[in-house]
Amino acid sequence: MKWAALLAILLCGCPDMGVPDNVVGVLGLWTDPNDLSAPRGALHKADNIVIQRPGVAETRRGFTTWATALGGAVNRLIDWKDTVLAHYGASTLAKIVGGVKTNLDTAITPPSGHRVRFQEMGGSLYMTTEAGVKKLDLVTSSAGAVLAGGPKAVGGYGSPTGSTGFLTALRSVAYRVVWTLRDGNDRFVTGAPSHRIVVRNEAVASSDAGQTSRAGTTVTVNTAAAHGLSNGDVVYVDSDDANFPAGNVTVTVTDPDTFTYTQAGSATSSTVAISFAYATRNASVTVPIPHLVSLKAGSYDYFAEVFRAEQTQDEDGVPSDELYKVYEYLPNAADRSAGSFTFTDTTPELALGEPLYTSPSQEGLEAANEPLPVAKDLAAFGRSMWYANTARVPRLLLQFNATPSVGTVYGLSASRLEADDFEMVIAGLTLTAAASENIPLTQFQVFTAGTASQNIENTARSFVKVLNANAVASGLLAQYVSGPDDSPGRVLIERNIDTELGVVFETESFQLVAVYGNGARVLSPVPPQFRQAVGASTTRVGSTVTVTTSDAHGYVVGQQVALVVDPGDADPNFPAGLKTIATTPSSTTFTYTEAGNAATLANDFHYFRDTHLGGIAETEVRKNGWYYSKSDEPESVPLENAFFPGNPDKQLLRSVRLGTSLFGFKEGKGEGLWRATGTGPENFDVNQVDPTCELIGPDTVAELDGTLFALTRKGVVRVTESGLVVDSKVEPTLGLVLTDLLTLFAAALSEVKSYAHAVAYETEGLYVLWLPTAAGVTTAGQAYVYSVKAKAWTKWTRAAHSALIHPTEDKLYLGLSNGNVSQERKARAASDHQDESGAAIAVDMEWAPFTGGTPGALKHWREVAFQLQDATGLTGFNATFATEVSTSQETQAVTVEAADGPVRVGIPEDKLRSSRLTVGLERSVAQEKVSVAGFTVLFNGPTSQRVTK
Amino acid sequence: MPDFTTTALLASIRRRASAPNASRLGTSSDVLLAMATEELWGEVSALLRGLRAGFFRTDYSVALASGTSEYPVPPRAIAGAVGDVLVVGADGKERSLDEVDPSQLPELDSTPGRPWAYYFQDDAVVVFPEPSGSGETLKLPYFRRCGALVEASTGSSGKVGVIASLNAGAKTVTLTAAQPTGFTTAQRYDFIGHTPGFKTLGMDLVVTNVDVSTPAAPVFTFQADLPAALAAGNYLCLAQESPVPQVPPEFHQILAQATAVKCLSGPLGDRQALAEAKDELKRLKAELLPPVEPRNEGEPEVLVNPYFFGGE
Repeated sequence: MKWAALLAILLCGCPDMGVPDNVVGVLGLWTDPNDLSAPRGALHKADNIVIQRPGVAETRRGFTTWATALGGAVNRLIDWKDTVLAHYGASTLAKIVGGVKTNLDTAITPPSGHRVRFQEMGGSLYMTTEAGVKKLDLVTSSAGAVLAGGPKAVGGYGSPTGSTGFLTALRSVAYRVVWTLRDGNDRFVTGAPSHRIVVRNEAVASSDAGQTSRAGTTVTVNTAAAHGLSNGDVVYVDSDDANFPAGNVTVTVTDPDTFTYTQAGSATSSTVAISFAYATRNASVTVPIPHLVSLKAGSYDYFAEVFRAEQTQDEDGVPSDELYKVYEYLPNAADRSAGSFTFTDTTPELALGEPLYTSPSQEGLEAANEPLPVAKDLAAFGRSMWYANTARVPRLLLQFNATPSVGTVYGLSASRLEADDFEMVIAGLTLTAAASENIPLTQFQVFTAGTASQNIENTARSFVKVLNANAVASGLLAQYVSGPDDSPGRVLIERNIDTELGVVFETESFQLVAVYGNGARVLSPVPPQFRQAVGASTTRVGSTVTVTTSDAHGYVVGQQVALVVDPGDADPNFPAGLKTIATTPSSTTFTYTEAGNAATLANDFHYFRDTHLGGIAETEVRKNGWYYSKSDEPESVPLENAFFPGNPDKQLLRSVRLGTSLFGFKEGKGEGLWRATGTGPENFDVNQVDPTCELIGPDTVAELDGTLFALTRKGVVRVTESGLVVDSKVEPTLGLVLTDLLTLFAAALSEVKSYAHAVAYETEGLYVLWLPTAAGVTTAGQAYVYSVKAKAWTKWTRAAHSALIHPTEDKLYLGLSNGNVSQERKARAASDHQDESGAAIAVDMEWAPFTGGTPGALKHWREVAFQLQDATGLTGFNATFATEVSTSQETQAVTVEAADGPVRVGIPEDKLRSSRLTVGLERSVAQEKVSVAGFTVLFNGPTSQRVTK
Repeated sequence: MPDFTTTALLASIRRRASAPNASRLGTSSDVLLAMATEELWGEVSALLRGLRAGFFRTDYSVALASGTSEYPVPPRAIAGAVGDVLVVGADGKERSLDEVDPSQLPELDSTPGRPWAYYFQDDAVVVFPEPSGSGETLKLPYFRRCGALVEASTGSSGKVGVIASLNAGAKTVTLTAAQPTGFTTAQRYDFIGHTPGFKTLGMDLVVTNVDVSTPAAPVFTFQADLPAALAAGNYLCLAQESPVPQVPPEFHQILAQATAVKCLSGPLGDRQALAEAKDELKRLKAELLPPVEPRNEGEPEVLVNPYFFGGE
């Protein structure tokens, strides 16, 4: 029987057999319980060994340099499509083939405080970045990663066109546009639809009462303005006059203001005004091209799809949101340069195509594939992609309650206004209300001709149109979101994730302010209202400052206002700050009290604003956000597909699938472990399974032996598929290094959180947990290794910034902080046992003190014999000894003659007598493998009884 | 040259008793040397004196002073005993004084003159009658106690100095290393020979100056002339100390074994090893005593009581 087997049986297996009191096996690191409770075989030091066979310690395998100088610390290694990928430095993702790197993307910046996480699904590789989730489709791609998720359609508008078509007079249709990406794996990723673009075949001309008359069968119409018709046009007569009945007629144009048509009847003139519309027309629709599409279209296949509703049944009807495909378009370079394309919809209703996915009969608008949340973690589970620790883009929903007066100016600031901001902040886009729309001048049109509702809708739509025309400059996009059943005037402004401007969404915000006019009063929420001071009419006399504003200020006595100035135009006689209104002599003047020089304001660049701060849009940070995609559509994540487990202030650090469960590890006491179950979005459910399982190292979770291993406040735990957390109370061997871990937590917790990582080496049965060594370090310099076969811990004294088990090679790869990547030596020969450049692997073992069963009594140690097993090639080692009597370690060099069997070693003189004998073994020679099953001790004693002659 | 110093002695003791150098066990070097000193002064000295071969024998002479009848026994005399009380006359002839009982003194003529008798009083020899003249010398043969064993270490943390060179005219010796801490003019010093015999070449010497201008080679200036036999390699020790057991080398192992026995019975308390060590001590004595007795192989053999030591 081999020594190891014998010792294993002696030490672990056979309670009836008893263990000879001089046999010491190898049970692995045992740093937690006290030495008296440690069984024989417990090790205080187990450096650079593995215990895969119970009871046998062997030199770990070494590594050889595989790739060098990538250009920064290797933060992550991934295997994707049989290729090793490395994320290194600040933001670069590269593939490594044959040890040679090729950069794939240099803008993969990790989310703040986290490493980039990767997840493959549907053939694509998804990754978390500071700017949002990105993806790669092909490892051979040179186009880099692209923001995952379909581009959100931006606005759009339309109008009837031509003199014939599908759209009946005085009927309306609605459109929505979606953009779809056909990715490198031939998957179609569709974004959220645009707002509704409503086109109505409106009347093109009208005649006042008495201006339409019949002579014989000829009806002559004198229009109030140029009618624009042509001979032969078929026109619908919208008439309430029985003498000129409604219906379609063919017109003959007499002059720009006159046309005739044939209709029998009495010779008479109209008694009411009559309108005329084309009997049918087509629709012209202009579709803005999202910036992302323009940016990436050369490398990615983006195309637009336009969907249309059936036309309304009557002239007062509102088009439904049941939309069908009428058009598909791949924008060309000219379109992309222009920022939009326009097409004429001629599709008859009978030829309407497939329905839009957000139609009520389909998934509904609430299932719109909004831009993916920015996430710090992601995982595939239940045919869905799950995004954790999320942030959604800043959104501001405005309601126009009335139309602003012409001349009103709105400002959209790229950062939020703080209460103590007294500098001019309107550095972003300004939009001016005007009598007509002028996109280059960023003027939107204030409509006044229609009903109040129509005016509000049209004005809001113009506002949206002008804003979207400047989407790239502002980084914002707007949608007119009032639906068929909503009040008009609702506008949603959100941060345009398409711009890929490297935005850190966690700190992202923007704000709407009213710079001039009555802009604030017509909106809800009410934004801060600025009033410009007229320089020449703003003076100080005594301690009274009289301010004249360029329009009605609306202030009341006692109100606080903030004087803000452009720093370049500051007037020292009128310092910025909060002022209290003292009097309001007129609608455009007010006073406040402030000592100073008698003076007149030097210029007009001084503004007063309300002190309230409405109209702010901030990123919706949901640290506990757990969004999930539609089935088999990892990039389609409606806003409602989410769970928000536990405390919203505590991050959901990590999501990892195990069998039929997805586990979410949250930070914070009482948050612990959550479990998602289900087979799809229709039945996903989330429950807390263990509030005490507080994850410490987000990157330490790894699946091994059918369980998840993780580093928590309680040390290393295992989580079963059912959610049972197996800690050291249940599986004591897990806690054998707990003292080491808790000591490290106390000294360097932030470093542990940042740099701890782990891999599961399934074929070797090892959980390899890399940890930093001390406070202040910036990498993991050591690894604690747990063998599930031997239920034993060992320690590797070598650094790794990241690690990967290559699934096909079944080798361990290490990413190093110096930018190199090392590959495990696995020839299963002596040559395995050396590190990079042939460096020796320093095996250092030290057993817990041997007491001979009487820890308090003095013994006379006579001899130690190490028991080797399969130590082929081992030529020698150093045996070390220490006692509580002589604490310094002494070394005895030992020559090995045979690979198996005992090797006797004399004990140094100073270690011959003690109560406890500490034995160790050291070897640091390349290409030699220590393989030891323990040692035996010959001793006399206890000898401490006093002797008398 | 073999190592005869306490370094070798300690190693031997540790081997024999498996005694670590550990203060927690009471087996540190200073403790073992203290134990060895006890064995040296006790068992080994007695063994050697029992051989009646002149080991440790020394003469002490002091001039008789008119009016002074009390003369201290040499402080290094074993058991404070002297072998005889002699007076050497001015003509060089010795006469042995008779020991009298002090209670008889009133009956004797106490007129000062030439002493003819003596008695012991405390640690002194009192001659009778009180000397009245000068020119005579009191001679006290005695067995000198060996120096207490100290580590044979040199330098500032050492216990002894090793003479590198000497200057008889200047009465100076230069050491091979820095002087041990405490080696000042306030101390008295011995010179110990470093070769077998390990003779005490000088005793209780007064140092008038220690020149440390070259710290690694301090120069000691002595009040008295340097001993004629003093040579480089000899040891400079504090008075009554020695880095070598001042017994024949063959007795070093007996000393080591006796100390090991003491160690095993005392600090280590190893009953099994103690029995083995005692047997070994007995064996050593049996093996070693015949070769050293008699010292003069031409002399008749003296019967040695094997139970003189050991108490068995």
